[in-house]
Amino acid sequence: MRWEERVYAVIVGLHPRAFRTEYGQEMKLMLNDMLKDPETPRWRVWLAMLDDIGNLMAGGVRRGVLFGIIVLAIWFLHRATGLPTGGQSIALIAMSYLAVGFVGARRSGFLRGVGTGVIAGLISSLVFVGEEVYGHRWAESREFVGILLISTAEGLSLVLFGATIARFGDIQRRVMRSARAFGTAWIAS
Amino acid sequence: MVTPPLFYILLALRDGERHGYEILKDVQAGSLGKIRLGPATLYTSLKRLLDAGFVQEVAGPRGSDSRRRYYRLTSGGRRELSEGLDRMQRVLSIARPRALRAGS
Repeated sequence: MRWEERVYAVIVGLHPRAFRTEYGQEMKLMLNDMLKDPETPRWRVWLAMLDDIGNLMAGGVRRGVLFGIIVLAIWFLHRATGLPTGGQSIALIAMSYLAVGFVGARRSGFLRGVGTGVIAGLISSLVFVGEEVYGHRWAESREFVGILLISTAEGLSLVLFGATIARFGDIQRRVMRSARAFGTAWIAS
Repeated sequence: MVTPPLFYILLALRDGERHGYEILKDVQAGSLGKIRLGPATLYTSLKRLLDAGFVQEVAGPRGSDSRRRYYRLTSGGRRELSEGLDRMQRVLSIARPRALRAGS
């Protein structure tokens, strides 16, 4: 098996299951055609793989950016108008993180759902810049780093929770399968 | 109205059924290398065309590799392609004389 085929098998594996089941075999076959084709230089094969990675990311990135902007909008509304109130803003932002994990995982699998949440988190971290603009001065850099780390951990936990709810059946099946395999191996030994 | 990559896929299927790699190569040649698709991008586009009813999956020619899937234009796809070509023709007929006048 050539390097390109190995790498491409991973790329195919990252696609949503329904798409992979439908077209995975054909995609690998097509890459094989490209590698065998004397008119197609190797660099072009790698370029096609990069194109597929872009295709893979496009939907998730769009969703991540959208949810990030939603979080920014909630924060901005709170800062500019006082509505929603502080508590309501936190609840709405928490719900947005849950939703991004849920929607991302529902659409394109657990890991990509979490990736979508990370993108949303990166965009919404602009809130910290915004706080500076609004005149908030952090007491010291340790306070800033602490708040940043806590927010990241909270956001990521919510995204993971949302993605887990979306993929609960899958995760349950995988755990059961692993447990059965472990049990069988244990008994056999 | 379909996007340029979808249009070139329809164009690649104008002469009958083709499998994925043949379509991919024809899209590259037809667009003079301007549109390059990866396998996943091609199949995402083909799925869109299948869902829109412009393309259908058909059995491959006798003796072809059974792992390959072949696609063909439907009558709706042929109509869409024809309308796309007419649009291009109209744009060219408007733009060409103006471009020539501007150049002279």
